[in-house]
Amino acid sequence: MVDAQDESDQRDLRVVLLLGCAAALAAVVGAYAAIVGDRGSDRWHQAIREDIRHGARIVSDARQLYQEDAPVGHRVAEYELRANALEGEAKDAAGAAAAILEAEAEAQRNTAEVLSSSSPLVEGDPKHAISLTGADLMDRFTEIRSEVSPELAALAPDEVEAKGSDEQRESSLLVATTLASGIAFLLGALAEALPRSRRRLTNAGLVAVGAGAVLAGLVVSI
Amino acid sequence: MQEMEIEAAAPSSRMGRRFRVALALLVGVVAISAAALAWLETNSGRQEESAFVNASRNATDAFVKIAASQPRLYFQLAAIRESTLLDAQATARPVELGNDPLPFQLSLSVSSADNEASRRLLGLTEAMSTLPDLPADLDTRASEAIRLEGQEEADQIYAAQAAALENAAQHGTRQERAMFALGLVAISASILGIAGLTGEGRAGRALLGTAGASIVVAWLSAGSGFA
Repeated sequence: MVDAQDESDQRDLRVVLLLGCAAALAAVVGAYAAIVGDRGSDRWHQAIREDIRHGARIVSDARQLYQEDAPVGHRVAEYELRANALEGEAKDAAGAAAAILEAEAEAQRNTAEVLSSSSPLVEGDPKHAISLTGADLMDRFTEIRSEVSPELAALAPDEVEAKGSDEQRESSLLVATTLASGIAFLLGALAEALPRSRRRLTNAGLVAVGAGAVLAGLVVSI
Repeated sequence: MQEMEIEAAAPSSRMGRRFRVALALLVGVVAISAAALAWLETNSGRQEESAFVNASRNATDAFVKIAASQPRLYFQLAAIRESTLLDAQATARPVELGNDPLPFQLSLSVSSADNEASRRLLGLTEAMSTLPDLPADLDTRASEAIRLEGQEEADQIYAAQAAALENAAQHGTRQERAMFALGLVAISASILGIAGLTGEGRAGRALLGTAGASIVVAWLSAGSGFA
């Protein structure tokens, strides 16, 4: 009688142990999943902030190119082209007209030289201005982009977002592994209800808890 | 009126095997449902937030491309306008002078020079406005940002953003339904606890039935998010 009571107590303790382990596994895995998910969420928000900073810099650089450098280069080209055309007309003219045309051409050329000295696009060479192309503007754009601070150059919002997505995926998979705890609870409850099958059900429940722990470990390591 | 404990209101009775098995099964189903619905709620929330992040980055992308492309388009228009004005000025100049030979000759020569300069300047404007293929050292995002040509391209970005927001709304609904289902599962667990205290009897069987129905409604609620 006493031995049967002891055996029954031991079986009850095994069920309690099973349920306790299942609850502990669910709590630990759930808590870690929440931490990882929170970290992933923070990375997504960081990606948005970096995206905005990165984009603002692109807008600023495009403005510098097309509102400062390109118009100055175009104006230098205009003066140089007018100077060339006036020189051509001066050759066809004679007397005072030729002298005036040559003087005007010289004035245009001097203006082009003065203006070109302040232009990073033509770099003090007005003759270069009259052959500018879109490729030259893109080279200048690349130069402007390379002048960003190291901190800004290091921004990589796509990579940050991808890392955040990985962490969120890990969190979701960890929560999925708590299903094993649910199955362990089912088996533990059935073990209480079916005394004759208690040992088998309790062992199956412990296997479920073990499998849940292994799966959670795999998710974390991968 | 006096307070009455639940044990007195519905006295415990012995639990038969069928009642115990049914109770145990429902407890297990509640535990599995809680885990599954927790995953559904977490996953839906993750996908909703991901869609919002996509929508937010699409919005930033749209504004960057519009803001970065406009200076190029304005430069092109301003340069064409300047070239055209030079030509118009050149054409108008001789008309304003009388028949005095030297000024008239000078005016013609300058106008001819300006016509020639204007023609070449227009060609230069076109060359400067033509964007080459992606330069090797320029980052892709900056290169793409200045290439927006018209409303059609901007509309494509808006469409992508709208799709992301719709996706977010869909997952948001699923998350809300899953949270409601979790609440029902928690209520089922409480009812099962009371059923265990009450034991077998009319009250106990009614409580089991209520808990079972609550679990079914919980799953129907969660499933309605996918409809």
